[in-house]
Amino acid sequence: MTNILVVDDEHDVQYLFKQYFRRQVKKGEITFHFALSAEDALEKLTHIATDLMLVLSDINMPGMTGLELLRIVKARFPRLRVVMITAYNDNDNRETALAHGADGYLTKPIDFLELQQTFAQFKVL
Amino acid sequence: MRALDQDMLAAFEARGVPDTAWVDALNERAYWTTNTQPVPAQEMAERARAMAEALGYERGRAFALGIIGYTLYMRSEHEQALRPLLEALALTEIHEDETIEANVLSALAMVYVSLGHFEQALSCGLRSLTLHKQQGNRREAAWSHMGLGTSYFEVGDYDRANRNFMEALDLFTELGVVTGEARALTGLGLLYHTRGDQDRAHEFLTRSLGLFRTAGNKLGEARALNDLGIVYQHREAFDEALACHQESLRLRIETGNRQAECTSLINLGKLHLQRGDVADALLSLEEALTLAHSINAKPRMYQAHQALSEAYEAKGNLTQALFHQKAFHQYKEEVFGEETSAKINHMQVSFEVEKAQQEAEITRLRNVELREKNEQLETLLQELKAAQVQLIQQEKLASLGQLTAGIAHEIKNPLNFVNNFAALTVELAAELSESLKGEREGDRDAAEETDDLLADIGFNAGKIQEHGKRADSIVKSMMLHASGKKGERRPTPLNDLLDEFVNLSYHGMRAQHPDFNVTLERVYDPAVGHLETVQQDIGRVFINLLNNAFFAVFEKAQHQAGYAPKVSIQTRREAHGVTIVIRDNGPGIPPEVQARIFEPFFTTKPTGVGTGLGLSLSHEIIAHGHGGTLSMESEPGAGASFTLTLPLP
Repeated sequence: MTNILVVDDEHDVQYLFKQYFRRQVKKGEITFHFALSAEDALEKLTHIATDLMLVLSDINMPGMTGLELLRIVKARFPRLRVVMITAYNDNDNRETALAHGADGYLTKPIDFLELQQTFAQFKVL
Repeated sequence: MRALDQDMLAAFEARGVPDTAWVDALNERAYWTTNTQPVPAQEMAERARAMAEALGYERGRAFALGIIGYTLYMRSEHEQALRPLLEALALTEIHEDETIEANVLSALAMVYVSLGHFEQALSCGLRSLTLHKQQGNRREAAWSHMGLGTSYFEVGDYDRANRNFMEALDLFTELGVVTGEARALTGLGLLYHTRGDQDRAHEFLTRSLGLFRTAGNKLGEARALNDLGIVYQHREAFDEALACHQESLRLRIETGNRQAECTSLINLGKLHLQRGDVADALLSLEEALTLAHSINAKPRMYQAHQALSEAYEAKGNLTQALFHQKAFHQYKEEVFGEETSAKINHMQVSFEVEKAQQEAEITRLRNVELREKNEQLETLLQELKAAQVQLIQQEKLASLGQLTAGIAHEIKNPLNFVNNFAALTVELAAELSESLKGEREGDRDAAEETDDLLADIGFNAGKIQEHGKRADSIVKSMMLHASGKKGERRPTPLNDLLDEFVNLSYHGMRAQHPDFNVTLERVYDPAVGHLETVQQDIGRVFINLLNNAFFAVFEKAQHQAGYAPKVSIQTRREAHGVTIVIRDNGPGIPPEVQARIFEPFFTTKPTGVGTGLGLSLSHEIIAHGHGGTLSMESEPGAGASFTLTLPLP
């Protein structure tokens, strides 16, 4: 069982993941956890971090940003992989994310094929 | 123009009503005919003077008096010429009419030369030259040079005479004034004769004569003939000399210039004497003397006496010879006495004269410089105005740029969902056809699958709709902000508009600084409702104030650890209208900056960041555009707040 935490303030993101990966989800191969804020994500992480294979996080969120979350996660859970997802396709954010130790960088709209490849890369699936 | 003068005069005559225009017309005509027809010119000028006096038209009176003076001079009434000329001069000095003053001074100079008052002649001549130059009146300046040349010649300063004649010649030639050119040539011709260069003298005088004849100027022709006669006389070409002098005399009698007539008579007398025709010499010379007395031309008087003395001596009448010799000395002394003192003063005068000339030149150059500078300033002003327009445009574009960054972000999210849910639906539809096929084949799992798929497809469609509408509403609200003709007022839901811009500004800022975290506090009074505003402009103000607030807290966050940036936005409905307060807990604004904060182009941001126009434009929009107020309060170190009030209509 693979557990993935998705952090995004948009509520409907969960349906996208559940539908794109519906086969795997139905088969019980993958479970998605969702947090609507970085704070919420940190709270969930205290319980499930050790089970997680990957954190997927948006950058732009009200309250704590994805980049701040990245820093904290990398500090607390160094072996936990974090991939940033953001609407802004500019080099500044990419560089900042990578500088803060992100394991990957994806831009919205999420290319779920690319995401599959990313999972494969991390030998998640 | 001359022909028109006569028609104009005829028209005035026919109308018969005295007015200033008639005075001007009479003066104009008289002015242009003084040289050729001094008597009718004087009559016309007299009429003009009387009419001007009756009308109280001082300028016309001064002009007329100047012409009268000049015509009297032309008729050799030298003493009589002084009074009207001096009166004209006084009038021009009172009324500061420099054009007429310059012309009067020129005429006075000539009168003084004839009277033998060389010092005054020079003084007037130089003043007139200065004025003509200042006025950029090159033609009249040339005539002043002519007058000065003659004066210098009379006092024996041949170098200066030469210089002035040459100056006049150059100007006249350039301007194409034939009579002037001819006159300058006569001056030079006589000068060369006096200095002993007879060939040159002959050349110049012949040229001059040719030009006068072509121009039909009888007085000038007479002058040239007179001087040529003197040159021939010197060469002892007596027949030619006689012909010249006789023709000159004839012309001078015809034109009524008695001083000139006197000159011719004296020259003829001398010529006769040289040829040994004593009787003829005495006749001419006695006539000359009588004439000289009648016009009180002292130089002519002593010249006539001197020649008579020689003639009587030749005749053998020693008593008469002695009488005339004494008279000659007496008058010469009178003139010379003046001449000597004139020479002594001349040294002084020359120095002052040159200084005056230099000053006139400097003034002229300065005027040119000032005019050029003025033009430069005009151009600079135009360029500055253009630059200002451009800056305002840039400011608008800059705020628009930030706006679009915010908008792009706002819209991308819903569009992202539309695309993804649509893509998913496509996949699901494909799987649905599979499961339907399975169902027909009796696969029970397939039936369950079909239900699931249909549910998801329906769900997705709903989501597509939802996010599509969301994007649409963002665009609509943006169009609301950008909509309307420039300056169009529409009832605006202020809280909604403000909130929209808070979002835009916030996301715009986050786009630039994704690391940055600000606490936003929004307190909107529901009673605020709608207010008539120019939405484009009000939006711009909100963006400006919000951007400033975010920039301020961002700056503070760079320098202070543990700092919690906060921007609060509050609206309140009050009796007078609506109050909006945007507050930040940034570094605050120092007092010296507070005083200037609404000044155009004033900025504390580094060079190249922003245009410094935002707050001044915002103030413009609120105060002048909407009759509201925009004010600022700040405690340095604690933060700043901007309060905006919009009145009820």
